[in-house]
Amino acid sequence: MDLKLKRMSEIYEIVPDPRSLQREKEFPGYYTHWCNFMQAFYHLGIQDAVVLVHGPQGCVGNVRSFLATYVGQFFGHPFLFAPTTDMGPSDVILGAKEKLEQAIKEVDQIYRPKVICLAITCAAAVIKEPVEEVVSFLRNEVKAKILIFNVPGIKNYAAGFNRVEIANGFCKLLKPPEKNVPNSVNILGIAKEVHHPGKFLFDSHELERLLNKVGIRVNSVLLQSASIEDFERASEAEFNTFDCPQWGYPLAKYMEEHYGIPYGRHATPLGITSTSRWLREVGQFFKIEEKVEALIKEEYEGIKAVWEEAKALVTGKIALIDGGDPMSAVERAVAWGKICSDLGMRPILYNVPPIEIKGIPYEASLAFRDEGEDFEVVYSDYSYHRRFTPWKIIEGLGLRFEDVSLYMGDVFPDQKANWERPIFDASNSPRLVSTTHCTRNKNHPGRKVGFKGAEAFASGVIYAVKTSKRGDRPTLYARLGGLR
Amino acid sequence: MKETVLRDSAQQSALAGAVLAISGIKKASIIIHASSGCGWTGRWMRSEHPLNYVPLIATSLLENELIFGGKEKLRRTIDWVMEHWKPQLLFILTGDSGSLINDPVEAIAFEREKSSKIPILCLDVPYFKGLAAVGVDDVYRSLLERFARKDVPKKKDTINLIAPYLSGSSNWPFDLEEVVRLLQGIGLSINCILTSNTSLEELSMFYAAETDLYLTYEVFPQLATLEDEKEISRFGLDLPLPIGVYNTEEWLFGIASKFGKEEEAKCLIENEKKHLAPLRFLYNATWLQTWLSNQSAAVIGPASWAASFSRFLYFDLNVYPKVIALYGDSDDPIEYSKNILKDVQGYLNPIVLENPLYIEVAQAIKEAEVEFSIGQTQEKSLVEGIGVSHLSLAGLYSILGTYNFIPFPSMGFKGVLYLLTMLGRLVEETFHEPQRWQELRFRGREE
Repeated sequence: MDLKLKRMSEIYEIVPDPRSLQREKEFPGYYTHWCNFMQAFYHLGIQDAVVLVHGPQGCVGNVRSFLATYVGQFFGHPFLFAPTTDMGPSDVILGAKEKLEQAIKEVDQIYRPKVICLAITCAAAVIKEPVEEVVSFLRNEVKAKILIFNVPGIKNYAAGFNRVEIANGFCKLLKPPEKNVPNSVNILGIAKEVHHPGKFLFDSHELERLLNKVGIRVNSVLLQSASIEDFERASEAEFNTFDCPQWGYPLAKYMEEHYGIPYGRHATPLGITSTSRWLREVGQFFKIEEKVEALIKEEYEGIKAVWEEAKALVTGKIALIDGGDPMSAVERAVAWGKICSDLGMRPILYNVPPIEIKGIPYEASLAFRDEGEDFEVVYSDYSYHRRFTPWKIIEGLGLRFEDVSLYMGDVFPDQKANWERPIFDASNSPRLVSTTHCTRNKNHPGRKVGFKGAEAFASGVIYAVKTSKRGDRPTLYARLGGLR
Repeated sequence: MKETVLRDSAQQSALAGAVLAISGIKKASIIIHASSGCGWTGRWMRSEHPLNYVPLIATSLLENELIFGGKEKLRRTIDWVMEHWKPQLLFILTGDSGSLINDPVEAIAFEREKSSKIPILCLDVPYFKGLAAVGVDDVYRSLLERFARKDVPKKKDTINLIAPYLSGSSNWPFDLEEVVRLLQGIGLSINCILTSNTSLEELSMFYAAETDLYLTYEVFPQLATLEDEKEISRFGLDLPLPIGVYNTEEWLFGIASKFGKEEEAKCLIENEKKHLAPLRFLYNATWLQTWLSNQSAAVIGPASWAASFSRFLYFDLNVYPKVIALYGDSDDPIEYSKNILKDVQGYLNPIVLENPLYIEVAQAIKEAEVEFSIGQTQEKSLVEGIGVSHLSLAGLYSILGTYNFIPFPSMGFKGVLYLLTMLGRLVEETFHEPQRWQELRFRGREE
């Protein structure tokens, strides 16, 4: 397979629309290995909502065995009630309109939720159940608001667009402002993480800390685990900022179009440069530039020693960033690219299917258009499910192992099971785990936004570089990969 | 609560059940003809069998294939699997989307089986067909119809073990080893396990056994028909699972009496007691049992496990299982469970919930004011969210958060050591006071 590097902006121009059938010709197999419903499910868990699934019980059994459970356990999202209509064989032949009607009424009476997120899975989607008709018929009878999410597994290509649809679905909870909250912003696009005190800090905590220091109040943090009230008062803020643009951008666009609230152009602020840029945009809007500059100076002074030490170790080297997980190959990799670039490294993103640059609509395009972050990506016709090892990248691109200063991988980074040659183990190559759920550090945000995040990342780099000098004492992980 | 059309639990689909059962067959491969997400379901289920790797791939049907058909994709996938994985047996499972478009799966399989000479079994196991036991039953039927020899002579004192993964214990792979050891200890031979590391040769001898010993209360109507035809008796459905001392004795004696091996069972039990002997002189063991005694618990899980575990808590440890939530893929497992809970009912009056919605479980736990609960990791955030600590011992072996790497049983006499160790952690979690520690911790003058 021919490997070459292309910039994100170039790829964006040459790949087809991920929703078109051309997609299958040029990038066959562009679909997620998770079910669309599985991805959607935990994001539907806003506070005091019940997810009613029009489909078989097994769909919920499936998500409870993985994503829904671990997002709850490790990110603090409360248990999500997810009753199903438990569709059976006769339902898929005769239809289950009456059953759905009864189910909605029962959910309203038994759970008394504020919102019912009605999720449609394959069985109901394929037979085209008249869901909207049923919901519209029941509108006056049911006290809870009903939001419909059409998320069958058969619609699992171009996952980024599915996310946009989900975020758009939540726009129905927004309301026109009753008042204006001066000097306030919303932080949009918090997904998986929960803006609530807990053992570990999340992105929104760090962003809120920084904003509060310059006198800006956070009005609403949307959308994971947000309350209905968070949605309803969101339009009272003066300005919208982003953490993850995938989830945030649709909400921001809606609020601009309907309530005239402007939004920023910068997202996922990882690293000093990116965080400063993000803060300056807020400073400019509120005309508090001096305060923001003072904050940046103060915060940087606080982490300067560790940041500079890390920088000295890795400047001029390559950071191999494994997009890894098919569902967020671009989101994470672009964000990590920003902080690696800030430390003076040359980020190379791989295991990021090129079509994904367009398939996740806002992440890469915002980065290269509005932030000037246009990273190199390994370009080939590879698609999901066929991950390259770091060695394949090094050999395919003609790089030298000694020029790689950092390898960032996900849950299942491939080990090169050959001790005769260097492998990407923590014992011989500086390696940082980049998967979001396994990167917690006390008093620092897990995804490393802001100055606290930058400090934790730099500290991680220093430890990783030092550990890589260990050489001939591989970790258990590497031994399990087939080593001695 | 009145009758409802709703269902909310952690129960898995027929497709998941089918993969679970097939993954116990040596040298098998699986194609799932459905969307790629169904492939992900399958991969979790496959992980249940830590010692047997069954490759699995989904044809990953997308919207356009639902209209134009996915048969070419299926053909290509079969050819790829035959070339790269070289299975001895291939299963093609249809999930929801594959089932609803009615692709000519069997015709394609027939054509490919002819050219490859490898048996291909097609099963229609969409989620909407039912829960896991339905898919498991389909697999058992298809395996036995195809591979079990009908002319094998019966072997005395020989049994088959049925559906160990549906016992409900998240430690089932190691429990199965212990069950085999105990059965061999009373002089029984294991003929075939449906299914765990099972070869096609073992399957061919299936009908040589006198009895099928069920390690679950789930029922398999198609298997039952075959059992009846071949005069294999079903056994174990009226016995508790061997969790704890009391249950293990009842289970062993129950089996022994069927085979006239009561004396062997007595000897074995005497011998097995040695595993527990050190506890007599271990102050920690008495400390733990004292902690547990008189406390109230909720037990939530698959019916077979939850009923047996409740008996263990009550009869062995004097813990009162005030709430027992039983989940069954049909009504039968619920009824079998209630039957073995009858002698607990004689002393306590626990609230027994039958396939409850999770909201009903939460309400019952709040009302019963239990100190802790034992169940599946899936409901941990529900139970702890209402302020009750939770220990995950039920469900499946590989579900995320069921970190379970020590090859030691939770069943039999030996299993008591495992269970006490786990309950020790639960006692710490339940009765330690970290919040007060944080609030009242030492603070220096400057703090």
